[in-house]
Amino acid sequence: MIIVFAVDSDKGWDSLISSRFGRAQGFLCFSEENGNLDFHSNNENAGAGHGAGIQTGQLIAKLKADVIITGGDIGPKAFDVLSATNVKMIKDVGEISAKQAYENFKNNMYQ
Amino acid sequence: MKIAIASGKGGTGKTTLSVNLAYYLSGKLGKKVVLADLDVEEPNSGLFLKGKLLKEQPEYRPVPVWQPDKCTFCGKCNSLCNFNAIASLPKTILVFKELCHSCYACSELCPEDALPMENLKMGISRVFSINQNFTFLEGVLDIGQESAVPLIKKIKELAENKINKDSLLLFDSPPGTSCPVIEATKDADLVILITEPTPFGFHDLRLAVKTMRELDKKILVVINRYGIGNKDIEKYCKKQNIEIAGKIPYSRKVAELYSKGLLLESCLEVQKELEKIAKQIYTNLNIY
Repeated sequence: MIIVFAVDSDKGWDSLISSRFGRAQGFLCFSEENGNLDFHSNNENAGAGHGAGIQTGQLIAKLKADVIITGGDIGPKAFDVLSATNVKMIKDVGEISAKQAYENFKNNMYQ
Repeated sequence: MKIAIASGKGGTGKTTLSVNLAYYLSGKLGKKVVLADLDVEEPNSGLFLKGKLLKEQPEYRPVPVWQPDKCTFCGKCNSLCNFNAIASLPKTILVFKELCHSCYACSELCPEDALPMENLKMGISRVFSINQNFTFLEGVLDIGQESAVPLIKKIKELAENKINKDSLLLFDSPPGTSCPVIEATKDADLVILITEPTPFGFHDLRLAVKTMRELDKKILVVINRYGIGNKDIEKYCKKQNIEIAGKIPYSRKVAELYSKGLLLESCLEVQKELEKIAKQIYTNLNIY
């Protein structure tokens, strides 16, 4: 399973989950299969004049995410894009570390 | 000749000036006047004008519609779109029509012709005859449409078809200094900026002047609610070498007539200012 976390800076598992989705600075992509945690910058979309959520949703699709975890809400256009890719959306988790968010997810705290 | 009536700040009197000036020019001066309300997000000139509805029609803008059977998911459409209106996903293409600027790039350059353009309704247009000299047009944007620009463009085209070389075309513009205002003012021969002597009015007037200078426009200023606030605008206009064409007094009578949806014909002090404004327009546009 591939789990992606919206973050505003790359501090590995200590990175705080971003309260924004479309304009998050980057995404941490964790592959449970090989244990890799990679950072993907979202700079271009974070500064977009419009359609940030759409393009960011597309990035999540490119990362082949099964789950996306973000700290705040997901906008309606981003929601449409993510819905079309069947990724599980977990939102409003608040400002916690990626590590904490992953543990919570594994403990089935996000339904 | 085209005259745009604009402002920085909203609620300073664009509509009041537009309808009363159009009425004055068509009545007292016997000019052929076409007034177009380009504030299509909240058109209100029509509240003050009683006339005969000549035509009402839906207006459309073209947007791409995805054809799944033709698409090879090459992703070109997504990389071409300047407005991030297309999401190219592994099994589907999503077109966000509200972000589309109808530029045709994705449609024309799709190697498989999988994005033909189709018309999407964006609003309606109406044409009224107010009197034999005065034609009035308005556009009303549909709820949910994100951009006013395409409908503004359409209403301008319709209005331009109604004028001849002796007519005056007046645009009641949207407020602000962003895309809708640029569209409403960009081919005007003269822009009248109406403001009020308050800190907000002054602040936004300066933004509007900067914007219009960027567009190389001739500018006149009209001060509405004259008598309140301070003299900052007059000092500023003098310094900037901008003519103040008229000062519409702050008066209870104006407010009462306005609140009833009436023109200010019976308000002599306003008529006097309209006369001055008309003179300035004629001077600036070399009309005799």
